Amino acid sequence: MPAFDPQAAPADAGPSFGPYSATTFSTIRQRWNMNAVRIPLSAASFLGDDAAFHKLGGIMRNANRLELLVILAAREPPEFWARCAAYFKTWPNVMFDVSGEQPRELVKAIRDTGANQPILVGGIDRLTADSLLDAPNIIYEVNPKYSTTRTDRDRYEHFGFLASQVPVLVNEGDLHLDQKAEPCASLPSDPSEVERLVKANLLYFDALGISWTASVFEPGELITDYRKQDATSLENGWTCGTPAALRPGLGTVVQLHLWGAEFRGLYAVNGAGGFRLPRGGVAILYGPIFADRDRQASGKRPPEALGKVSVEVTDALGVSRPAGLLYASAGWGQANFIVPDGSAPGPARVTVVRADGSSTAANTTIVDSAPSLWTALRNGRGPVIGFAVQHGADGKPSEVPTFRCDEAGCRTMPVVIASDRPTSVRLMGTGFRNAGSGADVRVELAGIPIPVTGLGPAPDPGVDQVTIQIPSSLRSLGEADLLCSVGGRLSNVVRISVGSPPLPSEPPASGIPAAP
Amino acid sequence: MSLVNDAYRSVLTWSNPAVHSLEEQARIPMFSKTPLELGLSQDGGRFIQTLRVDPFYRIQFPAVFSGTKDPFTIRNVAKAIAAFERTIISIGAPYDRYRYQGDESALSDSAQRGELLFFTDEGGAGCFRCHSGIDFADDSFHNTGLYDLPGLVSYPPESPGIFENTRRMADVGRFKTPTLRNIALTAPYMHDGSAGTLEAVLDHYAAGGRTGNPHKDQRLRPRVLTDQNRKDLIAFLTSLTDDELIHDPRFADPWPGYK
Repeated sequence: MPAFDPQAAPADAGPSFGPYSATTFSTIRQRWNMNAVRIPLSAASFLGDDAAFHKLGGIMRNANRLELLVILAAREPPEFWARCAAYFKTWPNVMFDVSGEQPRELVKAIRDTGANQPILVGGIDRLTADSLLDAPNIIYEVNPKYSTTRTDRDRYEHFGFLASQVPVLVNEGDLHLDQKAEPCASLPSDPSEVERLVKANLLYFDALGISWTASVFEPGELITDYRKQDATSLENGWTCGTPAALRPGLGTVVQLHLWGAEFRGLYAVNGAGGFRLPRGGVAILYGPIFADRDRQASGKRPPEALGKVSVEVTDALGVSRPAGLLYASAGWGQANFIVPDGSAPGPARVTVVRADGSSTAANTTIVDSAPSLWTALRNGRGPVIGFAVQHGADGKPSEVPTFRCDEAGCRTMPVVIASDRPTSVRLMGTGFRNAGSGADVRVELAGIPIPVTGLGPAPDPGVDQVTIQIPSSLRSLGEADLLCSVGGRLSNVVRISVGSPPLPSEPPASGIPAAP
Repeated sequence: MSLVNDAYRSVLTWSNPAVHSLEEQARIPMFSKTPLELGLSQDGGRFIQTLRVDPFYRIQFPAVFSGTKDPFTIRNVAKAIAAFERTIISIGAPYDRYRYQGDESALSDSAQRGELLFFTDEGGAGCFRCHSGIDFADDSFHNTGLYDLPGLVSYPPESPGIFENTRRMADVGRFKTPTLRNIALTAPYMHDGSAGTLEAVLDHYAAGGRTGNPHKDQRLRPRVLTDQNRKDLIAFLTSLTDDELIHDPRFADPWPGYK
């Protein structure tokens, strides 16, 4: 993550989904399949009272709630770490990443507070037996250079040899293509060679159980921008130290590695962008689809072929079933399909089969439920697609959308909450229907649990709905995050507005029909 | 324009949407007046007489068109040419081996990146929107913004696109999407040869067309193509060259040394 500035305005709302918003954390966990965020801190910003730690704690709570461990990282001084550790010593899902000339002092400062979470000791270029501290629960952080770690032998000599003895984390894998100097200067000029180099590093880390962090989740590094949060690519080329219109980055390499997908291959995601596909629900394939042209299915029964393309799902029992298709794009794009309801949960394979005889397959996992909420932006973020029961002046109830899209963009529309009774809102999504009658279904609005009164299929193929009741006590909440979970499995984070004016709008995503 | 895989095309000339068979197409250069090509008379005249006495054709025509009163007709000449053209099949390019036979080594890294750019619209070059299908041709006609001349018809009068046949203003400048198979060997490019190199073609499309012609295809828009992207796209286009076909003796000069 970019450095956290406790003095900055909260970046949890509006069109850009700032770096520490719940939306961004949800993307990092679900769409990127990461399990931790490293938050760099400036010790100087945390002088004075505990207000800055309190603010940081709010963000950490959000990250933990969205299944992300938090690594707090700062350079010295011991006084800062003593205060930080004292504040967070009872937080189980946090680690402290210390770096400085005297790591033993920093570790002591933390341990003296009673904090016993893992401590990452950084600033080590080449890990040796002498680097090890005589202290428990330490993770050793190394910063190898691309110029000297080209082969597994290099990797072993620099840090791999100790990975079987102590926990190791490789930090700062960024290529710094915006700088003329190392590591950019030492890289091959061919994008694919660099992709393979980075991928070889990541595979080595995985093979030896070495943890790693990669680049920064900010525009121009791992992502193109906060609005779309698409992965950056190396494939447009670069000139070290020269700004480029298409900013190069490691995003695609990292994302594909975390997905277990091939370069320029096919991969399947659920409506929330995660990797478990709900049987009976809508899922999306990205990659070489090659329909004869962009095709949208119509009618209540999705066809098994669209644009001379079909999708086949082979489940864990080896049974193959055709999937109903909702959309198929020409060229490299997406195919939206219904995961066959009869598919057995477990590892599965999804195959795009084309009329020309070619096919492309992807591995995936099928589950009974993987909740996703539709959003007006059709990208799993922003204003949720829902319908609130509102009562007119004559007392008659009618359903009013929770969002509006027009030339100016899409935004939340306030759900007006009655003062004397809860207000019912029907949220649209997918991946709920097979949760089972006794499933633990939860919805949180601004972190507050909301009663769920209904759950099940909607009339459209693959679409489900969950009905919640917003209590009158929340009538002045304004726009807030909404999160759903089914059996502990989280949905994407969406936005809903309760009794307040809408926030600034954002243009809808273009050219991607029917995606959640 | 390349003839490869024309057997599968339903559109066969740059600017005549009414010609759907190779037999029909074969007659065009025989009898065309503007431009004058082979300059044959309607009955074939001297040309047919030449065939009747040619040592090869005087045997082959009666053998192939047996059962007809006179095998030496323009209709049969067109059939023979069309039958030959239908044998010019290209399916052995490196890209074919990569895409349809699973040979990962058939394409360089650069060409594989180029393929992704070619077939990606948002963030890519979007070429596939017109150069689609197995032959990279959509059997349709598009105005690619090559010209925007003053006056009602914004293309050169001698070559105004399918407007010449339809007389609809919206058809000004609309020409057939050619196949891209063997494209690296068929310079110059565009219907009028106004782009000398593939690099010049990429410049044209990266700019969204070289003019703002009012009838320009809406899919053309400026796109950011880096130097790397251009190299990769050209590597991909070059991977459509079918060396097997190019060196197939069946398509070599049948009368080498004949003057």
